[in-house]
Amino acid sequence: MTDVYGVITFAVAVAAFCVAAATAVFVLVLRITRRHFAKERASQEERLQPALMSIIDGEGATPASTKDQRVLLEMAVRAAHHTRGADRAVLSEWLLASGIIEIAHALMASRSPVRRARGIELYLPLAEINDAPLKSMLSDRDPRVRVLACESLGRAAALPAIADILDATTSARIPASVAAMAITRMVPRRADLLLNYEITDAPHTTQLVIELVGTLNLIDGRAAMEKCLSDPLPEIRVAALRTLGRLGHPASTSALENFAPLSPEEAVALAEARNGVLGALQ
Amino acid sequence: MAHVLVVDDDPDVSALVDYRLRAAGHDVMIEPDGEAGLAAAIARVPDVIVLDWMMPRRNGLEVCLELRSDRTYDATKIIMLTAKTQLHDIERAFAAGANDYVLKPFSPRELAARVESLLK
Repeated sequence: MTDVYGVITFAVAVAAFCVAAATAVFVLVLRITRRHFAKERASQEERLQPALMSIIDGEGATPASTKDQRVLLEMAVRAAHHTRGADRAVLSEWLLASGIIEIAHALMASRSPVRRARGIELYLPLAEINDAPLKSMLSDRDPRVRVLACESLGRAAALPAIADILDATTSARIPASVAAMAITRMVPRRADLLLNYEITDAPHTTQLVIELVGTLNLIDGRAAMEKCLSDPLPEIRVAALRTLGRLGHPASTSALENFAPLSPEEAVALAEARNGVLGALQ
Repeated sequence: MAHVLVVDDDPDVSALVDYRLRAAGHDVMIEPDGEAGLAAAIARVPDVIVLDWMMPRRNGLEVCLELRSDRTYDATKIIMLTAKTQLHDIERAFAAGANDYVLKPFSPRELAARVESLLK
């Protein structure tokens, strides 16, 4: 009997060792392969760097192979993300002439979420020309693709997409934190870009908009914030108080004086708001 | 021909700046982080430094403050090239001794023009 247990223990130990060894070999092969591909890609990009610069100089470029063309497209997309002005314009023109819209659309219509995400990345430099394809990706069936679409709209500073992002937040397609980051990145200069949105049905979206008005210091949103002080929801009132404190406009003094806090949290927020206004007066 | 040190952790940005400045006839050196940037500035005093803010090891503001605390770099012009758009960040950069501030995304042509202007 002891012998049987010994054999079983030995067999289990050997099997465990084999699984561990196989996993180690797999991980090692994976790492070597990845490193090899990364190295190959880096050398390919280095080789294509003059072609990219020639595009930026408006001289265009004709890559030798389809693979080179694909890599050059991705390099041009990345360069376009970093640039603005004449360099950005010439890169966008080359990307359009190279059929980037068709390629990106085909990828965004793919069944694979990874390919749809790649389509979004490729389309990004063209978002300022037409942001509709990116906006439509806010309704993608994969939450990661939706988040990427939202982040991309933020990176593209697509201000007209704010309403769509807030819509997506209301219907819980996009988390409020992601929407907040994207909108902050767009740096809207006027509160009406946020406040034009119908927010009454979705308290979490209303709260997000109120917080953004404060974070972005959109002083023209002050009157709307003061109106929110009479909202039936306490979280909206607290958010409005905090934003009024951040805006610190002297004209808010009477609205704050007339506000009667209904909870300790509101009392604290009210004190902070008064301090904000007083600080601005001093 | 001026010696320009570009310190940025994004190789795409460095390549764009490098290309434009070389095209303008400058001698360009690229470093990927604040620590390496400082070492390069010590090894050879640059005429102009194009400095990213958010970088690994030491950030651009720290590098700027360190260089401005040393009289050796009094003649070195520093351009902050960053995605930080807030007014108080711009104020902090100038208070730390930056000579110019360029926001990302940027125009490499405009950056080259600003380098020329600072060298005059």
